[in-house]
Amino acid sequence: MRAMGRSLPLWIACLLGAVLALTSAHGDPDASPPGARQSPTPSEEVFPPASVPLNFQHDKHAALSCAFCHSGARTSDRAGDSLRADPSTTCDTCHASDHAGVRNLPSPEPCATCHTGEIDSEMRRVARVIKPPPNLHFSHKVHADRNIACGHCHGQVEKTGTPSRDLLPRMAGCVGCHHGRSATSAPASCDTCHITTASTGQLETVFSTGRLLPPSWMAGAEHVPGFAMNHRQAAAENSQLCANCHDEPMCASCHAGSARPQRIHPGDFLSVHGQAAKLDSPRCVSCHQMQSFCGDCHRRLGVSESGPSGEGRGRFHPPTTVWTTGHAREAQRNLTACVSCHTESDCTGCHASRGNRGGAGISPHGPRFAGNCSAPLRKNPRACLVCHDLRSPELERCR
Amino acid sequence: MAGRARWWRIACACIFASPAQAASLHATSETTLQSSSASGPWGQEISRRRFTQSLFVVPRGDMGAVGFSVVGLARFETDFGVNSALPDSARGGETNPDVAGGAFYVPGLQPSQFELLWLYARLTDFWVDGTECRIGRQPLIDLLGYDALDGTRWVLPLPVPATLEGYVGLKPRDGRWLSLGRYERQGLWWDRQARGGHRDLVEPRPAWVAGGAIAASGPSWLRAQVLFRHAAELGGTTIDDPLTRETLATLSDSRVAEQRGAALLGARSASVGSVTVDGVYDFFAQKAERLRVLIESRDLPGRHRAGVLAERIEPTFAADSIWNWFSQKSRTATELFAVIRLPRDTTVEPHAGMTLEDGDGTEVGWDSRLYTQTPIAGGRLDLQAWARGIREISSWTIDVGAERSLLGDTWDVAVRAHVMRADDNLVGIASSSKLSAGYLLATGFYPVPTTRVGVAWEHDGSDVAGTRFQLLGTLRVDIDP
Repeated sequence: MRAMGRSLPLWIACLLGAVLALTSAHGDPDASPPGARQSPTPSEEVFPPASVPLNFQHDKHAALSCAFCHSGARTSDRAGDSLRADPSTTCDTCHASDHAGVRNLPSPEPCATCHTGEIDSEMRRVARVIKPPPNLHFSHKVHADRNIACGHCHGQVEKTGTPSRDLLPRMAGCVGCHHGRSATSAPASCDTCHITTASTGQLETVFSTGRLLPPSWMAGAEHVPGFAMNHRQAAAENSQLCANCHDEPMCASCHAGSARPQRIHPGDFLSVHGQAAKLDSPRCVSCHQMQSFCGDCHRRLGVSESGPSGEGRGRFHPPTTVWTTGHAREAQRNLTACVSCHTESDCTGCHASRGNRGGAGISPHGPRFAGNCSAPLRKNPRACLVCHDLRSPELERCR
Repeated sequence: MAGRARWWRIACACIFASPAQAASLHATSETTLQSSSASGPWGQEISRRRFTQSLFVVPRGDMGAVGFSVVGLARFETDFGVNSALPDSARGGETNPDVAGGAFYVPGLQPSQFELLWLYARLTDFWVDGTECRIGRQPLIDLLGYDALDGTRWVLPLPVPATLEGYVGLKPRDGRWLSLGRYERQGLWWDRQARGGHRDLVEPRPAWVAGGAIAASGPSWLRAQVLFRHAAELGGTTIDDPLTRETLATLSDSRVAEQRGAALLGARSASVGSVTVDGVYDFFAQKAERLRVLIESRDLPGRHRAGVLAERIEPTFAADSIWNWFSQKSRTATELFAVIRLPRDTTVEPHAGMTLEDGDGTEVGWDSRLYTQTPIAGGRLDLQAWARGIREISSWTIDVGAERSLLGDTWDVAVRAHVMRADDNLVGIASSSKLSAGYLLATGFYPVPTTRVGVAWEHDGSDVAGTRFQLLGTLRVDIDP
């Protein structure tokens, strides 16, 4: 064990080195928006799938400014605004096309130069661009007024081909500015961008395309399959982050629920819960009040040292001949479990000092206790006085 | 003048922050009926016939930049199963110490109880953006654990990238939901000396509590937290002889109930991963209660994740308790975990852990878990499997479930099945091996979008405990005018 302890820093250094080597092995595609490395595909809950049946090549139009086609971007104040180009004032100025007089075309063949998908020859109709509004608050104008270039959010569009979802912004890119770490940074509260419900003020999380969940890179809050079991650290570190989406009944449904939560204790957990308690009772205590939660059932079912009268009594511990000497080891390794049933007087019968405390004087204290006992005695003498007389030599030494 | 104007805004917000002025109201009512039984390894059985009604109400609104809300969560619960499994000669014996000589009496067992879990008012952004004030019975969730506070809590952003948090109030010690065992009442059980007469409960008392925290976000990759909590017992107490009830000592002064602090230091990169070190120190018990190191990579090729968590724990107890001064061995748990992303949005999350006891080092426990989530037509397939053990006990469990997500439809359904084998060393059981299998069927119906009626049926059988059933009915109504 000591050898393992000495080599622990080396192991950690090796692990960190391996992690860094692995993570440096791949990089961002050049043209991708910021954050595409963390989120290779844009969120479908934020940007519902769109249909853009166009053979438009951004890279072949790199000489033009973005605003030439998307002129509404500088004034758009809502995420749902359409920024599509008006072909009669954009495409037609360079291409030999006439969108206004499309019905007069002798054949629909020229349409296929730019439009893909089915073309209605008789009606001269092309497949429409379908772009559902994003589930987001966003103002292009606010960003354009701050001289934030399009590529800052959309990547190097001029190097890409046909319009695709890859050009949509990623949240990891947004928080490059919206981090809230300084007074001058862009606002960082979730509702700056995400839609909230009017009644609860929390984020809207259910959309027709799925459920909005935290991304993988966010504060250890990614809701992976085991998150329900391991969420305590994320909650302890920043419970306000959780509160953006979850309210108190959500917590109470498991922590004070009327039914056993299947994701925490699936299957016949009742049959193996004792083993879990022996392995890590502090984890049980984080949700369960052991004296009342465990005690009620254990005593009523007779799985206790002092169960109801009759055959249910005294069958929790090994036989007395074994347990009298063996209980110390179990108590030292898992005292939390012991005190979920036992009261102080169960221990003071032997461990209190002799005299009118009625004990046998068997000290339960550790080897360094004598040097550290004065402060606790001064701050709260109650525990000392349970086992020692006020003027006993032991307490005098502590003073 | 500016300071006076700010206080005027706060005063206005407090005055007008009443439900009658609320811009919106959200309420959720949940009614649950549960019928089940649990069997002990020796065949004794208890029945649960529980009725639970909870009500969650949140009026909220805003006055300009100032947001306000009131959060209330109350619950009534009753269990008609209490006393129902007793023989006629002991009718009512689980709640009445005078029946059958108190042989079946369970101190603290309450067949019916009403709990006001939370009731607090909250003001936000009244000073500058990010300011928050809560007054009332509220949750306190931080690195020191989960607790309840009857008092007020303030969060103030600082000019530097950090927030300051402070709270003061009364801390209930009887352990409301989410509270730690360290604040439980002592004395549910008879002991050897007192057998023949039941022990009275030591009723919990509130303690004054004050605490503060500072959390800094620092540069983009650094974050830190420091917090400290001090609680004091106000009233005096006596130390009584457990047999004769004679008072042996009396304490009349206020005394420390809790003195704990916690710190966290973390470095995080969205593209690489994170290293976090945090710990809790009990200044009264003079012990490092917890020390945790988490190293995690978030961006392995293929967006896989992997990491290691090492945690050293040595539990401490309330300052009044004698248990702090019993020698204990710390335990160190090490866990390796990964999140592996497969095609079709399939995620596999294996865990493997080991717990080592300090000291003689003979006690070794292990715990390995596997979760998978696989999308299926219109829903998701879950698989959980775990194996765990300590020295003389081992078990493995497989749990398979399928859930169909509800996306605009009027129904949902879930099916789960499990098979499990475990060895146990409970004294007195002829066979130490258990084999258990069971299934769960659950369905919900939405007559209107804001109301769900659900029924769940669970049936499992164990070769030790026999066959068990559970029927669960829920009615959840969201009121969202």
